[in-house]
Amino acid sequence: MKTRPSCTSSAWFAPGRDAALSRRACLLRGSAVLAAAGGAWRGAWAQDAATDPAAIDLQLPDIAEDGRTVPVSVACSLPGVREITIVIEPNPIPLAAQFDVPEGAEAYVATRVKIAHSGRVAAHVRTASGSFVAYRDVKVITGGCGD
Amino acid sequence: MAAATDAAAAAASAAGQPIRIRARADGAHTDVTVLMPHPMETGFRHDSAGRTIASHFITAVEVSIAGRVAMSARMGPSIAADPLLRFRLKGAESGQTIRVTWIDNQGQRRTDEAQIA
Repeated sequence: MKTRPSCTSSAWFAPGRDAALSRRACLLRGSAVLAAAGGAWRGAWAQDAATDPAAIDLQLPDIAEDGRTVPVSVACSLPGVREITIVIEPNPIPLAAQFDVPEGAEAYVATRVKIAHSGRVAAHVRTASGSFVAYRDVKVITGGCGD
Repeated sequence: MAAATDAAAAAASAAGQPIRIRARADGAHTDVTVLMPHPMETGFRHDSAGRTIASHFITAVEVSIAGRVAMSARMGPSIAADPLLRFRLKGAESGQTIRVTWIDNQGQRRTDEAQIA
């Protein structure tokens, strides 16, 4: 069993805990996290994740009027789904949420996310037999991470 | 739904706002909707005086049914304010207790319960 990067580490989600950081510093840190996460995310996950749009049903609007709240849902028809991850690639902190799917739960989650600007959203699904990823482009009219 | 607007308006005192849980058993599935009033500040925004607004967001959520973990999630500030989660479970029954707990990056937490309808 391949060891996965510690994606539960709070550094993934909380690089900008320091309230005194400038926006620029936050963005730099954000991109550092993206780079760090990118290493893990593209390295250990997406690299061996098969792109499988047929098995993963990633739903979000093609055009999001308000990037502050965009509905996203992920459903997966593959057997043995363990984990569903939603990655908002345009955001300074792209990793939006990671759901553990225990036995007895269906591989379906829906939530609402912020999207900073137009770009790509990824749904990554880890199953007992491998990893799969699906992407969708979204056009954002009003960004959701501004000040 | 009046409660929804109340929750949005009172996001500032999010830790005090009850989690709204709706769970309905429908044959084979139980559909669960959870709304957690919380500001979900990214730490990138500024107030009118130009000061950075401290990041404040839910980092973890756990849902259990009859004492067993039914769903858990880790979240970041890319989740919209007042996070809404919707998911579907198998095997849960009407009348069971569903309990939701969140923890945020400032160490606050909140737990609420409901009955599956």
